[in-house]
Amino acid sequence: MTTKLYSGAEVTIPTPDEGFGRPTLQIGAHARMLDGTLRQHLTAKKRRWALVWSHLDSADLSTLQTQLKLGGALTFLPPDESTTYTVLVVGDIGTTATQFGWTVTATLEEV
Amino acid sequence: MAQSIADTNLAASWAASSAKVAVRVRVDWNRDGDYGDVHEDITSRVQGLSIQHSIYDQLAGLPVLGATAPSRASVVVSNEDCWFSPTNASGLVASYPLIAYGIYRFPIQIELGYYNGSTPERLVQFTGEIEAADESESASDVTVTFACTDNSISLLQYKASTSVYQNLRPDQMIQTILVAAGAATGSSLDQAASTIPYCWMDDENGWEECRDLAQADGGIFFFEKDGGARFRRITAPIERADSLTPVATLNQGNASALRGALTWRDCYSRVTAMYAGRYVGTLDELYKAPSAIIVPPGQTVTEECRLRYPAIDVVSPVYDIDYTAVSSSYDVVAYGTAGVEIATTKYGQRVDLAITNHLLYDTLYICNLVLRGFPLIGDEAQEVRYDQDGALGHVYGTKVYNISGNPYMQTREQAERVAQYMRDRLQQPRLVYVWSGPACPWLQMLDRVTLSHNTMTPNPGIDVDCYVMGNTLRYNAGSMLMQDLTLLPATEVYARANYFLVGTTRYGSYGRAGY
Repeated sequence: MTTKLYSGAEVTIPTPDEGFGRPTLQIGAHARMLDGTLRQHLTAKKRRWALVWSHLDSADLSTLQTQLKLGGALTFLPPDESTTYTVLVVGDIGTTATQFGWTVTATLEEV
Repeated sequence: MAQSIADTNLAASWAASSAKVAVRVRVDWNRDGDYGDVHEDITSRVQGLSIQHSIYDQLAGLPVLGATAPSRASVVVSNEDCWFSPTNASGLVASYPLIAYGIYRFPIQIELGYYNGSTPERLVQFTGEIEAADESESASDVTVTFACTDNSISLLQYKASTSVYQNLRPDQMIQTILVAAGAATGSSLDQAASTIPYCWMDDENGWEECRDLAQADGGIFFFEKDGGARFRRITAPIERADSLTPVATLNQGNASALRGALTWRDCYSRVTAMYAGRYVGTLDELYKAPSAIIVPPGQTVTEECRLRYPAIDVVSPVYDIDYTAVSSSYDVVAYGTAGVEIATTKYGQRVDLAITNHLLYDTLYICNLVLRGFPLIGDEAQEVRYDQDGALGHVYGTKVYNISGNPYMQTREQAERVAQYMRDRLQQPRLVYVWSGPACPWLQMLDRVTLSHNTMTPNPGIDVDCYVMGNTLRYNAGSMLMQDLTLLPATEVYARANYFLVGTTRYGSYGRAGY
């Protein structure tokens, strides 16, 4: 259950909450033809991880945010796999203070 | 001719309910004739593209097939790291220093198709050059848009003068222009039906001339996807295999939209064609210098002499007959390496005289210079006229389409052939269709397709064979590879389905003589 996110030297980050979303994106589109037939063109299939880290202390928050804010392509080892992926951090990085510590949300998408 | 799809799965991929699009865009940054060098494959940076091929201009309509603009492509590439920016020293310019002067006239090729399993099967959809690269930056997007023109760009920027050629077919003259402009690679020119008695170029645009030459034969000139020039003669659609047999069936199962419009605007009850013959006149004075020509000592001056008429031949100026030469010390100057020499270069309507003054100290004055030659005199324009056929013509009242102003239309035979063909094409309204759907990548201009559309009962539907007149392809990352085809139903575009072909068919038993 090790999770890593880095560019260059490997960095272990806190393990995200269980039950994260991990859809496979179908890059493409579909359309109905004049007789109702559905046609689809796909370019590629890519993965996306919508991750939440709850109850982080300040040290873990700092480690995680440092990696999330690196910019550019990062190497990501998901907590439930042994395969690494090249990803970009897409969208906003959410940071919320709660009475139990920090909560961070981020979305990673395979390049 | 449709592109070959032998040994590919493209037909099945096109018809499949789900297909993976294969794209490749490459730019020859070092202009070495291949696309294999570093950074020449820019596919991973392409966000979207569109390509337009057409021999049908919606504004000009059916009378002027082939007189359209060159094929164009637009390619939008990601430039978030300023990779394509000429000012970014660590970008593309680091590998290709020419980029520093801007991205202009670099060859580009776009291939599209579908995957067969894990194997991309792509066909060339556009070959041309980047004519402009517009950088655009906003808070969320940094892109460059490449505006590309097909290989006619060589002809569009080529102006030339030639001598007068006699009795050339249009395809022969087109070939001459293509070779001179460096645009002959990959060309495929039909043998034209007519012979033009006299043709020449006089500082004229190569693209315009090729189109005029094609139209003087009733044919079409354009550049195909592979970048090669095409001349298709008047009867090409009823001769070529891929114009006779459908190469694709477009039906309601693969069409996302279908439009049809009757082109009454392009319908005429009468077609007239003007032609102006030329004949060789007697030896005459074609140019007279307005003043003395001054040549400094030891120098050569080139005098451009514009002739009153185009000339089949011009007499090289003869000393003491066509000019005299006087030095600044008022001596008569001898002809030859001790005095004056004139080298003559002759064009159709222009003569360049390279006048060399071999004197060491005295300026030379060429006085009373005239050029004599045999002019090509233009006749008054004559007219042939064809009215709509009683059985096939559908135009109410009199509406005349006039074919005029083409300098290559010089014989009655040419005018009659073109006028009859145009009469057949224009005497009834044509339903011009625009079909849209997932892209069928092997289609090219003049290919025959079957258009079938039967979605509702008892709707009579559509079942008609058509010629491809226009082909627009659109693709953006994450969307479908779509195509719009402009289609002209093949029925009665020609009065007959076949014609006698010299060397191919037997006159009388096969068909009548062509137009």
